[in-house]
Amino acid sequence: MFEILVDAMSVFFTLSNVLAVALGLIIGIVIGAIPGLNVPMIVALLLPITFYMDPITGLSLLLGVYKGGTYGGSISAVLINTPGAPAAACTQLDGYPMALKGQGGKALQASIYGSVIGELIADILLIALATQIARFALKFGPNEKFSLVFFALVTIGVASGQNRLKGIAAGLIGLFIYSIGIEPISAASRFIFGNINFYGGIPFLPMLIGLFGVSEFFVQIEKKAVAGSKETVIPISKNREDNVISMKEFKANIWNILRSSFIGIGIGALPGSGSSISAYVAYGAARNASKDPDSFGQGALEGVIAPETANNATVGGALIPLLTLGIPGDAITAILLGVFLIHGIVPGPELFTKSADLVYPIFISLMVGNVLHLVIAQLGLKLFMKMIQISKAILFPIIIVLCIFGAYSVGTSMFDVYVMLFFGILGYIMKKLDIPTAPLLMGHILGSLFEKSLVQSLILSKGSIVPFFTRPISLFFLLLTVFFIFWSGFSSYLRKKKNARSR
Amino acid sequence: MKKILVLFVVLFMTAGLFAQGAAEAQTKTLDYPTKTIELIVPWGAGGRTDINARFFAAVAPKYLGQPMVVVNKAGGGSVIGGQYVAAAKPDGYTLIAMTPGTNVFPVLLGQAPYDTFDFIPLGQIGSGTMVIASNPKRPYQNVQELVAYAKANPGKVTYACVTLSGPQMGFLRWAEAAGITFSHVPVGNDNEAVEAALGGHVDIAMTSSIATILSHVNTGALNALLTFNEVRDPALPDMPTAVENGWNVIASPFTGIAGPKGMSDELVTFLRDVFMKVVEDPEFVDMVKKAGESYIPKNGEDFHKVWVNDYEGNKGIIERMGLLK
Repeated sequence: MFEILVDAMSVFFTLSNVLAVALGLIIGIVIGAIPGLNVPMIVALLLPITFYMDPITGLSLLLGVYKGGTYGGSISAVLINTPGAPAAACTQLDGYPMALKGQGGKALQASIYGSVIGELIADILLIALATQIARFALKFGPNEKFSLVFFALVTIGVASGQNRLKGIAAGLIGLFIYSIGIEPISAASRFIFGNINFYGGIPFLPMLIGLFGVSEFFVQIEKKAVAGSKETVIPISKNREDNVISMKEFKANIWNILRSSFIGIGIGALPGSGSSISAYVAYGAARNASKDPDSFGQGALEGVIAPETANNATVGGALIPLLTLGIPGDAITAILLGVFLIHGIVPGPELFTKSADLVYPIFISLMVGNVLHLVIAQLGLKLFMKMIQISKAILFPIIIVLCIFGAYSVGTSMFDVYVMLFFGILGYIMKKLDIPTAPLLMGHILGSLFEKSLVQSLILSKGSIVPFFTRPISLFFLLLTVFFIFWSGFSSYLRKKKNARSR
Repeated sequence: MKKILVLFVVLFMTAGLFAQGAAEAQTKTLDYPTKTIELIVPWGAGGRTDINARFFAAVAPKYLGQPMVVVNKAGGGSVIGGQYVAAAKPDGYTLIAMTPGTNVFPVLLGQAPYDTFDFIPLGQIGSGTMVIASNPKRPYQNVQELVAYAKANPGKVTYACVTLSGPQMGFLRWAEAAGITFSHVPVGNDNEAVEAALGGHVDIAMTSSIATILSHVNTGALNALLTFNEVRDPALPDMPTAVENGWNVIASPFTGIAGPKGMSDELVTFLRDVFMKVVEDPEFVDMVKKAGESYIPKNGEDFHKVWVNDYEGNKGIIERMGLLK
């Protein structure tokens, strides 16, 4: 194993490969951080360019974009309350409150460390145990997937904290929005009203851009236009403790980081899920494990570390089924599969025997990417902290233009722009009513897996629900769900009692 | 000052309009192409249709003298891109990467605002091989054993494939010919079908291309049972086709290039000629084969026959099975 890796190093370490990784990371971070522009789009744009590159260079570039983009969304989530990528929807919950407290620098540091460590653990597991993990992931049939999705949906309630009912309501709206289009079971049309644009369902990226980018634009307009309301200024603290993570804080979060990493890898390794789901589940788990769950949503450091670690760990996790089974798990890995094929590399069980000369250098590229990620993100941090000092009157008009551009470019269709606008207005109304928007996104993402796995399970068991309880992995997740609900209720009961006594 | 500026803009735009008109007039005498040609891919970037289209667009300028750009018009299950080209001006500047997923099924299922033959085929690049693969732990190792087992246990064998897709239609046509009933487990795409069969959650998977299962077959994780192309697939040369086994079922998940109906005969002849030059170009052949894509080039007339055959075959099974509720 080590010999192979050493050989691979000598193949990988050329100036162009290292530069490709660095360039990919920079592009990914910037695109991820800009609301409106998104990683699947940029990967698709870069795809034809990689035609003319050496396969290792081309893939290094795109894997760098994938990593950087998954992290980059957190920057705008923390600093302007507008996640630039779906994976960062959850980071916003505590990242932005931290920024309002003047701890934006610390939140971004937490995001960097979480992302890089999560990525590192995931990459090591990918290199060492990919085949074994993939084999285990195959045990997840429809029953297991349903129970897992059920568990993930419950974490929406838990993660919403004090806002539980509103969070669940938003999740249900998301499930409803998912149900528009041609459903996957019998190909019947739902809520289409004869409009062909709805056949493929509500397009995901325009919805995302509207919900997070455009809605915040409306919020900012209101602050400018309505007399008496003031523009929110993110305070920049000069205190060291507001800008860096202390050793003590890091030690207190070691379990959180490890737990979130494994959640991220596990969920990433299951095709059909993805980084937004893992971020949410990790957030819910961190909240449940926390000594002070009520601080979540008010700017808890753990609440930034958990989703950021998990979503980047998912990148490595998602490469496991892609490389070992040839099965992509999300939109970006689906494009990556195409890139591998274009370069004559066929991902699957024979990859390590037939294309070992290319796979191991790519592994090295992932590891080098981790180191460069740390360096580049640290350098970028100072720049991004400066950028929020730009007046919102300049920043947000730029963002809205990019949002429209981003929504249009996905399918080169005006319909997508209208979808974006609709969700911008919906997101604005939800913000006004204090309904969290991230659960809506979760509902939409989970809807497909939820429906498909339920129907598949019932077809296979001829309508019986017994297998949900007799299959061990499925039972495990159902029990975990029960424990989660019970524990979050019980612990808040205990705290109330304790508070009453201390008074 | 402002007025002058506005005047300039108006003048400029009017000139632009005239230029446009001039370009159109020239097309009539087949002074084509004089500008960039758009190749619409009605799916997202990175998929199989997209890969084929990008290869085509990379080589085509050599024979056209003008650039060709790939535009992804995804959405609506590819109907939106289809409709865009069906409604485009038939001047040869808007072409489409054509598959049954855009051109045959949405029409048959009443989901498309256009007709199957609102397009003029220019040529076929390739046609993937639909394949049935089974989990090797099942009590059948080849298609004869599967048929015997399924006949003895009607409805017991489960198969995973995308609902009302090319593979399901092909599968149903075969099941009808063989006189067997199976239980369908709907999945979202080919990869999910393969995943379910690999994990043993379903008995067999039906997918639209050999590429999705080939490495699993080579490592023994899946058994390939039957293919549905006209000829054997070069990747699995020992695997007989349905026709060779005596079931008259040919299903062709073709990938080709087409233009909107109404293109002049000269234009169609010219484009079909260019098409053949592109697909026979060694650079193109090399790219397609390296990517593991199917390479079965056919000229416009032959492609048209494949297309009609696919349409008729699938129309028949949809009507007989009462799949349209």
